[in-house]
Amino acid sequence: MIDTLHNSPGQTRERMLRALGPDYAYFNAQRNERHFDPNAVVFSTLLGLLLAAITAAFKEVGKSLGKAGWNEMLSRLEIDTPEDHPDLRKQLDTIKNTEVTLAQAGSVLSLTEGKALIENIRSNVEHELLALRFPAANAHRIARELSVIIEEKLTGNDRSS
Amino acid sequence: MTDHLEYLSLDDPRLPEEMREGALAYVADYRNAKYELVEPTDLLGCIVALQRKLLVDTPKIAERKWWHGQQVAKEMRHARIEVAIVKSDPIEIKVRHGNRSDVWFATHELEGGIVYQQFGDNAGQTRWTRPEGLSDEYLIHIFEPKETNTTLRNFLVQLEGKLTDPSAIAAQKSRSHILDLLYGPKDNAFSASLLMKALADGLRTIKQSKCDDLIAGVEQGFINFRIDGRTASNSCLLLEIINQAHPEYRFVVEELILERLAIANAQRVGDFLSAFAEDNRGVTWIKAAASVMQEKGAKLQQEALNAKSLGGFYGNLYKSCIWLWGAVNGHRFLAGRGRDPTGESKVAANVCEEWLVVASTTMFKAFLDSMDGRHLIADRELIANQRKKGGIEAAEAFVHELIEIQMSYPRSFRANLLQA
Repeated sequence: MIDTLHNSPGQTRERMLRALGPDYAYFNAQRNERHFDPNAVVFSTLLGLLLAAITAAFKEVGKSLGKAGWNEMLSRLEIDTPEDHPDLRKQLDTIKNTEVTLAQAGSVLSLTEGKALIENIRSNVEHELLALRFPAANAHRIARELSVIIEEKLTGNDRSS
Repeated sequence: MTDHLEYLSLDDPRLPEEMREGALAYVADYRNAKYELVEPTDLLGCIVALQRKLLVDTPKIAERKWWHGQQVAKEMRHARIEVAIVKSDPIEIKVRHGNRSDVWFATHELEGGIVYQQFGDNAGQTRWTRPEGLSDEYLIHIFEPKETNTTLRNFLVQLEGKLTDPSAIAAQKSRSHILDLLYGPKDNAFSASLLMKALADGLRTIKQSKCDDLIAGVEQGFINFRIDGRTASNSCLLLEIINQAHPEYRFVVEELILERLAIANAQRVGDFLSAFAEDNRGVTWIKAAASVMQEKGAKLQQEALNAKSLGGFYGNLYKSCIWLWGAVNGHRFLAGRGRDPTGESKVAANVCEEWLVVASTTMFKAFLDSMDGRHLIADRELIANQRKKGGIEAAEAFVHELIEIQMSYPRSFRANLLQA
């Protein structure tokens, strides 16, 4: 069967893009010149936005908890900030590395701490989307759908696998 | 898997002259073939697709875009060509080609403006000022002709001449009058008269009920090729604005608005919107109407993507265009009048325009495919190339792009496309 997204990072990428849907058009709608961007550029922006939200949440929520290996995890997230126009392979590698870091974080956080981290990530994403002038309802929905993916990676209850 | 061949650029001295010439001729043929008008395999399907292409905006605009596309295709400075020598005796070469993303086109419009455009393989840009640092060497000028092109109209007439079904012949005959008007010198006046009629009908109707039946009638006229997309979208926008005014219609001084518009000899939708915007409530109504139209357009596009058949896909995508056009015009009007302190209307206008451009481009691809499936064949080749270069993940990512971003095919086509 050819039509299968058997690879977890590939499926995660697809799910993230589906969560964004046609609202990709908001990404460059503030510019005066009009761009028609390919999927790779759209995803690069989305991934960058999500990584920034995760990194900020790790700093805000996680650091104060004093968990073992936290600084190391944070450093890995900071290294993985994607370039402006990465190729597909780099994007999948970044997803994979982030998944590993999230799983590691999930193993040292309690249920309540994990929920606080996810809520912080969700709120950061929503805030970023609102800053890009996404309609409030859409920003809320997309942030929620992305946070579900994050939760799965953090708890190991991964629908992508 | 990649082919591991060494590809040389056309100016590489290792490339024999005859190969260079052969590659150039091959790519020139390939680029021009996109705009060849050929006998369609499905006559009626092609007539429908061509009329959608002609009326999604206005026929004059459709002809200009067709002509412009031909000029871009003919321009070999825009072609990126690489050649690999597979065998030297007998000579066998492989040619890899696409668009150069460092080359820009400056289109000198009849109205006096200059539009700067860059067309990459699957990305592009449009600007209204010359890109900074762009040297003349990488800028190709295109001057729009003064005469109205009729290439597509002539082709439509040619296709209509091949119809044998009396009901199809009669239907096409009844539609030709509208095309005569839209190709003629009084197209703008004709469009303005329809806007005035929509406004008058709307103001009369709103005293009793909402204008939904009038809106449905305009939409049906667009679907049946009895009104162009630009006029239909603006008529719907005016009617939706009046709908938003309900139940405050009593504050709309009907005669005053109509009289004011007649005196000003209103031609463009902006003239009509200005009449509403003289009252602050009018601005609120325009904003609400543009949002309603944006929502309807976006919903129709999702329905198109979820359609099980190509008919449902193209039909919904075509319909979405009048709603998105109306939304663009409403949002753009507000953005350009200092009534957009947060920049919200500008963003909304740009978003709707992007969705609109994607849908109207698909109408163009549908027309090409209705002749001989050339666009689908080209896309399948690209998918196969992606698979060779980057495996199944690359093919899947590209198919996602074709469906979700370019809206070239419905979601039900995904598995079929991945078999390429």
